[in-house]
Amino acid sequence: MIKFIKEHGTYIKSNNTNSKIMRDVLIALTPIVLFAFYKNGYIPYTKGLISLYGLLYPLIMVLVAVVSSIFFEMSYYYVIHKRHFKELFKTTYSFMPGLFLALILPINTPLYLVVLGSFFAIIFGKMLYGGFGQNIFNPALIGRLFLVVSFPLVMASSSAYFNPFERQTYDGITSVTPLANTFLNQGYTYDDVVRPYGSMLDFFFGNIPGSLGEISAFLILIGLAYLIFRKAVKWRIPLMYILTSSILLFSIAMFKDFDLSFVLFHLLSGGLLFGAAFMATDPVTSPVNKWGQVLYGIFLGILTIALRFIMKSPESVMISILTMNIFVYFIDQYAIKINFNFNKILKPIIAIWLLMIILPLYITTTFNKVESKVTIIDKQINSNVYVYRASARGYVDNIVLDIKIVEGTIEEIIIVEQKESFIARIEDANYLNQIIQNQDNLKELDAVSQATYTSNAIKEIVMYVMEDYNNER
Amino acid sequence: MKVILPSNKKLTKNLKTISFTNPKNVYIPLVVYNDRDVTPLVKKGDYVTKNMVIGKTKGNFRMPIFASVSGEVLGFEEKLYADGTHIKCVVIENDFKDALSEEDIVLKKLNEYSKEEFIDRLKESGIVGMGGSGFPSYIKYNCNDKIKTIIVNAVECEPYITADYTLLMEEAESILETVDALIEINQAENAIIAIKKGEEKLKEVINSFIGTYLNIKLVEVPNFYPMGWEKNLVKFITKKKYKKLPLEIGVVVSNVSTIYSMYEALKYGKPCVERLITFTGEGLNTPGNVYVRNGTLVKEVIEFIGGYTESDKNLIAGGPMMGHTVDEDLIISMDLNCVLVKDNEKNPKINPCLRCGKCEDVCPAKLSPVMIKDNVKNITFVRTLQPEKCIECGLCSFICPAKIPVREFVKEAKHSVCEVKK
Repeated sequence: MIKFIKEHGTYIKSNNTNSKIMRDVLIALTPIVLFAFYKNGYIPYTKGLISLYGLLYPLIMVLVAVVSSIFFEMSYYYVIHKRHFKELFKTTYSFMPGLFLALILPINTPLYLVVLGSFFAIIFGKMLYGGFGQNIFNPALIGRLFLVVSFPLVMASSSAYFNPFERQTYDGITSVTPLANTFLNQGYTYDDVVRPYGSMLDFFFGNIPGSLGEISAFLILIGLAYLIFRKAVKWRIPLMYILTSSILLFSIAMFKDFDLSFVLFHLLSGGLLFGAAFMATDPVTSPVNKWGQVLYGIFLGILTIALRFIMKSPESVMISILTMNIFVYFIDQYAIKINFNFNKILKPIIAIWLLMIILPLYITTTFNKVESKVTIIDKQINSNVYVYRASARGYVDNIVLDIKIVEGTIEEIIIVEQKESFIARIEDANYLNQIIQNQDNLKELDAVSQATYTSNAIKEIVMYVMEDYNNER
Repeated sequence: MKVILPSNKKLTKNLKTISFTNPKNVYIPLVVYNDRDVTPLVKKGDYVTKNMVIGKTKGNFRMPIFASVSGEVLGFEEKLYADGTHIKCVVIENDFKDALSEEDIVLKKLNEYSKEEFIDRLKESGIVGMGGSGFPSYIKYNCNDKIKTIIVNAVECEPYITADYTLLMEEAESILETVDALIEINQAENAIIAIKKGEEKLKEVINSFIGTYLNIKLVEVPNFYPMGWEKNLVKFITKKKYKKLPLEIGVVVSNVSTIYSMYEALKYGKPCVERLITFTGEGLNTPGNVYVRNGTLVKEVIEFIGGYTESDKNLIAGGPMMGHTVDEDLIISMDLNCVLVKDNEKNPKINPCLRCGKCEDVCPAKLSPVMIKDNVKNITFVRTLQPEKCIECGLCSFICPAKIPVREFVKEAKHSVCEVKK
């Protein structure tokens, strides 16, 4: 006897599945993980700088993050809901927050922090909201936020971001990441910001210090292209995010006469691309409406640039995504009205236009270089030998010099105090000797390339002291 | 996002049509469009002739309902209707004589009807939209606005269904003749026959007859779903949008089957009691397009054409996208265009919503199915999401990677919102 079974729904279904989308994301992330292994494990290993454990460390980090995040989620389900591992494992994608977390952590994050981060990501980022599909915030970013706030010293030291090989190559750079480096900067020049790390190509291909998965723009863009091709991503978000950021950066560059590498540098650092391609597009925590996605992307761009330049925060991408996560519900509610009545888009467009004009204008004013004021701290006069102690603002902090002048000639310059990133370059160039040799013609002495700010500060101090000396005589 | 569905039309395409006009009993459903308030004009024991009026709707449309066979009225019985609900039917025992009553119907050449006569004929013949809506056709044409363009909808965008295609292949000549007459009667400027891109054979057949009709054009439309939806079709062809009815921009859209039943009504005075229906699906031994009479039990038709394959089935009234699962009690009605029999597969497990937004991307009515689904219980809010605009095309359920039956949620919201409005 043939039975006739009644069912709701359509009687053909697409071959889309949640798992296929997740698989595509995994495929897009694979080259990024492999590159992290190659750069932070393989290269230092072949140079003989690390042990076998060091070679595998990037992979171990990913593995620990993934396993711990699966473990925490399944334990939560088991303890709170008494639901068993088997029925959930395939549908809740508990490995995702862990995987993403590992990719946005500094490469040398200790394993206990990885585990702690993934605990926070899973419990406070995902499960407390009701689990998969219910969470408001991107779980991986919640995990990272927790670590950055609770362990600022570990998370923001150069020992967290540099692999042993980089520690050798970038000898003399004490700052954490290229982006953190520029905040101390009063302006932007290719020489100061990009050159120390190589060239723009190094930034593009990921040959710079940074988080595990965030550095290779090339692989991120390939992954994004793959996801778009597979229709597995809300492509409007990264597109609008990157576009908006570029426009804002471009306007800042125009106003301040920076060259265009400024735009590229800021796009390629601070995890902006990774955030745009993988974190902002997390389907659960981003708008479902296409106009919502467009607005979401634009506001992400505006917020990121604002935080980066006004708050000087290297975490601007993370903070802006988490902030915009709060508004997803409201964006969706508003954006659905645009579907029905296109005029509704006018208000947000006007707001965006105003922001896009005001923001770069405001940011350019914050760039104004603080007049470097040289202060004479101490002056010791011993018949015709003058010893000045004077200081001025360098690239990072105050530089204090001792200058010995004998009968109108500078005999000796000693650096008493400095925290400069590129002081090694000053020493390499023998800049202090150059100053002594050219003391009659200091104005025309060139600055040390890749350490312009430091060398200029030193020069200014010397010139100021000479003036003071001449006045007194 | 445009969606191309797997067509599955090969099963019945280019097969010869079958006729099944001798059902044992017929169960004439007492319904026209959504009007179930019908005055039966016969009682148990009456003898009815074929094409005799056995009921009339009480609502605004005043449509007649016809006997599709001659024989004795056995009474009234509830049967399953195409929308999946039960409906009161007049049961007539077929005496296989097809006796006709002697009525005087003035027949003219197709293009000699005046507009009034034409409207009357449509009404008296009970012609309804046979593409699935079941809306009385005379209402569409009975208007004061000028009709500029008549669009013949032969797109048939749902998978599996080939009834319109087959009908157009076989009856192209009479259909073109009717369309030409429609242009003249309604003083329209032109007519457009919309078929799907890539139907080369059909194109050839139509082109071989279209030569003499200068006002009729053949337009190929892309193979998207739901291209056959009136709004999409009109927008594609005329590049214009309308709010409620295509008549606002001077367009009337009729389905091929409807046009053919108009032909029969105008030329031979036959009422709308027979139509071509696709019986298809992997669950049938011999799928095909079958001419069947109104009120025939689907069970009988399927037995006649070759029966089911073994294993449990989903019997679907309509296409795979918009149809409903029913059982063998289903009767043929004039707005049914397909009976699909699929082997029952275990439904994929429903996963949590990923909020990927695909349902919204594909929705032709620009709704947000996912938001409607989330807020289906919150009527005040769900109202602002306008679920009443849903055309129940099923794309949201089709595309959903979590296999959530999204459309059912939207339908639920649609019904609750419409009820509140009433």
